[in-house]
Amino acid sequence: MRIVACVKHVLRYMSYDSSGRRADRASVPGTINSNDRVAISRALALKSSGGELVCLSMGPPAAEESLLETLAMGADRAVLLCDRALAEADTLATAYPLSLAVKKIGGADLVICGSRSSDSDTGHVAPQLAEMLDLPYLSYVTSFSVEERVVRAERTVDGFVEEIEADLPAVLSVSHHISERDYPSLAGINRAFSSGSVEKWSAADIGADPERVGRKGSPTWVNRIITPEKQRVATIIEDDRTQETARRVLDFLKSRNIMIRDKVRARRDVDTFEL
Amino acid sequence: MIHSNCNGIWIFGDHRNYFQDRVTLQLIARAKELAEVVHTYVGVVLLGWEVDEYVLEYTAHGADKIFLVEDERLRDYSSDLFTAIIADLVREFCPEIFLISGSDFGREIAPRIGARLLTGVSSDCIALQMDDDGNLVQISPAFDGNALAEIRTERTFPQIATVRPGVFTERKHDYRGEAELVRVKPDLSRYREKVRVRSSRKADAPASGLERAECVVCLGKGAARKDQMRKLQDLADLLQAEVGCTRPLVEEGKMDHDRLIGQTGKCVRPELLLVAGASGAVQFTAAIQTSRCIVAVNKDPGAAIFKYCDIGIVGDAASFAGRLAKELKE
Amino acid sequence: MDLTYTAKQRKIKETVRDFAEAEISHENEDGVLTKELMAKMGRLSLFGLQIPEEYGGAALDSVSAALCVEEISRVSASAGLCVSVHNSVSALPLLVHGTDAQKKKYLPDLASGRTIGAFCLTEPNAGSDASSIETRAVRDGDGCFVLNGQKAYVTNGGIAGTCLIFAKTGAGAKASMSVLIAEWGVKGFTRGALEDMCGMRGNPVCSLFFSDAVIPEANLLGKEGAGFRVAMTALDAGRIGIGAQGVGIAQAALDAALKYSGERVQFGKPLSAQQTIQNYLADMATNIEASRMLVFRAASLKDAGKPFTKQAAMAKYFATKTAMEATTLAIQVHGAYGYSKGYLVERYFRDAKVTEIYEGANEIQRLVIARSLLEEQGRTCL
Repeated sequence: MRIVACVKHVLRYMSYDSSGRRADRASVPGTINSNDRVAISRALALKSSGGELVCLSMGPPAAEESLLETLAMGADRAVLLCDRALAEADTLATAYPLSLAVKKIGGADLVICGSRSSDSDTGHVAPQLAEMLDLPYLSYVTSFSVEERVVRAERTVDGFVEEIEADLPAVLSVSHHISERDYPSLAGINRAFSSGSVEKWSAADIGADPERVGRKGSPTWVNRIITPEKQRVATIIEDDRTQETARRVLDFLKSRNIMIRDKVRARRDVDTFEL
Repeated sequence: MIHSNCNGIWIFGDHRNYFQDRVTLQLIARAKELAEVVHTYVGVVLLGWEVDEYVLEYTAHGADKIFLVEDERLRDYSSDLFTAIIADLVREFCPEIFLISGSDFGREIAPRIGARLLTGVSSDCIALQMDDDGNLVQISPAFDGNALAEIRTERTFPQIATVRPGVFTERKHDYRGEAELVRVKPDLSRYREKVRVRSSRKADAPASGLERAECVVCLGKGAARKDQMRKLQDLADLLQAEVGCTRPLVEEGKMDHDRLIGQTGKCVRPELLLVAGASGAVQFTAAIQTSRCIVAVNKDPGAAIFKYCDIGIVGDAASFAGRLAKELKE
Repeated sequence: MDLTYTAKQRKIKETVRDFAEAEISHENEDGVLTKELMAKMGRLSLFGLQIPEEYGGAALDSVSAALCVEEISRVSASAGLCVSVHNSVSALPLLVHGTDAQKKKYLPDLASGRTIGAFCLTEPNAGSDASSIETRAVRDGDGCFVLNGQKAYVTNGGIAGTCLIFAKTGAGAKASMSVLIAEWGVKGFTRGALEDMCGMRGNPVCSLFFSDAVIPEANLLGKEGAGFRVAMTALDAGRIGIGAQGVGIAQAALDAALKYSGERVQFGKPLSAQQTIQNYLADMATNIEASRMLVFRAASLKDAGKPFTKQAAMAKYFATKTAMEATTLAIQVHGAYGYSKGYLVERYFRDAKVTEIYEGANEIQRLVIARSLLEEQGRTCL
């Protein structure tokens, strides 16, 4: 059984370059997107009953470290799509080369992804990848199992608890509400960073159509990134541990036209009246 | 799709959690405002079975047209069928903008439809505007809610956006309103269901009305003990407020996940929000920003929440809550 | 000489930092080392930092191992101490001086954390004066030693399964110090109550008592009389670990002071805009960086197989002194809030103090450094 896990290398915190539009990747350290870590753990658990796990990512050269970490976690192969031509891509122009890479890997029985990334947080790559591979898409999965070429999964979506299934091959994304986290063992990191290697593929290696990758292949474009300004000027008071503080707050709210004292009183009057 | 004869702002009629989930109505309201700028109509795409009630509601809340696909096989939501049918509808009727609810389902079909039509999709928008060129400016949170990205789909149609629930305000209903009903009857046998739904049942716990609540009390780590939670619940009851919480309380099993306020939880915009014992992590403050008035209580005078509130009290949250309740009962 | 982290070291530092932040309780001081945490630390290979892979360890270099101790100590000095002592003064002497049979028997369980190690030299009457220990191991003529005595303030004592016991063997002129491996469960081996200490309260420190405990000869670590050499191996490596622990504690104090001074407003501006506070922060940061460099230097020399006794002593001395100074300053920056239990800085301060005392009091470290200097001059020391 071959599992391909799609992984995103994200920055550990936010920073801007001089244009104020893009994250300053050069100086900020990166790591595996936390939801993708869950996907990798689940893939490793599945692989334990036999199979191969290939971790795939599209990213800058720095992403190699994250892929080495996937080897440290137990992946068998790691592939990085790294090419200037692929850069500045939106989700459509990311899903497309990923789909070509999956085919070049030789196809997969199960493609597993995270649902959201900590930077762009669209949640689009997994469903769009499924569309491009024309495979069944199981979304927001909290738990799953594979038996005889059928993947069964559980999830809760919009308040509905569901059991779903599909025939392999299929694409699956793990719920972003799962916050558990596994760590690569230090022995694994030592091994992977000493003797592990990440295969690097260019746009040409995967036969990508230049019109469908990079900026050209991206229908959406981020014009700018705004840091929301503080709109509030706070009044800070020390609690004197008496009713006086409570009264001061109620007066403040009243000055802002929030009359909770009156509302509570009115409700109480209604209740007593109905009795 | 690259097509400049596109016309109309479409909304996906996300009806399965109506009456609590009112995002479709919120989107219709905003779409009406945007439609005025580009002089076009607002249409709602409705798929389902026995959905007359929704035709009525959408019309009453401002829809100009309703594109209705009614079939027994569409009684339950199906991502595969809805994606395929809607993509074909879009090809046929060419809307220029397509707004989809930011529900789990909406956030799944939107990118799938976008991939089929090779057009742009933005996600979880908290604001929508029209620019001078008639493009939809889509503003969406990024970097764990630390920043906002301003996104445009420049060359393809439709411009698809999923929108966060609770961001826009629905219009008051007007049952005298009229909308053109367009019945479409596609041949459903053309479409394949790749994922089989073996069972689907509404979760037992009632969905919290956090997103619509006028008054919210939010508990943080500093109010997580049993006695503290009780004091705050008493105050919440008195204020008839919904109770939410920050991530640590969910992780420790003290409150259900549907009470989580934050980046991976709910976004609230009440008249009054009381934040009790939460430090104000960025993922949290991004989800409360549009509240009208925020009262924060925290023992730590350096807590970040004090930069995001209107009035901050340095002290013990539960103790303050108890005294506030006493004051209100008098 | 390259003073930047390799990609591997960066990843190790990042992984242990994320682990420590997420898994180790910041608030629970006394009970921080829960069973769950110990199991997770074991799975991460934190108990087999430099043990070879054949025994289930991570086989890390000494700089990487120091990074691990630093990052754990940053969140919990008590947890950092457990890891450091287990690795450098319990597992390491076994690795260096143990027979193949001993290594096969003890290292796998130590590496996985299934068994925790302890190093037992100090006694009620023998602290810095290690050679005056009174614990005695007498051969019974039947292939065993009979062990009698008491060990005090044993780090990890309350949970240790494999203990290295320093005891006097032989008699009269032939008396010398030897090391015996005592397994918890042996008859005659008991533990005292956990010590109630000012700081480092999460580490289960206690006395160990031996009353006619029978230890097989096969458990002699190194030859009879090799105790001094085993102690030197252990202490040199141990000092690097404690140096790293000091760096971690000091870093935590600096991080707290930085955060607080940026948020606390007095006289119309944040504390961090005041020059006095800026001076404090600058001093803390500089000393921490210097401490870190000393630790890495000692660790690098050790990996290169070069003598590193002097540098290890310098690292321990300077880093722990820095920890004490930085934590004191951190409380000062926090003002009254820093003195209260509601903030973490007072715990960092209490934890820091003992680092100047154990694993060779700083007074001894200075003796070691001076002795090295004098030796290097070609002069014998007194």
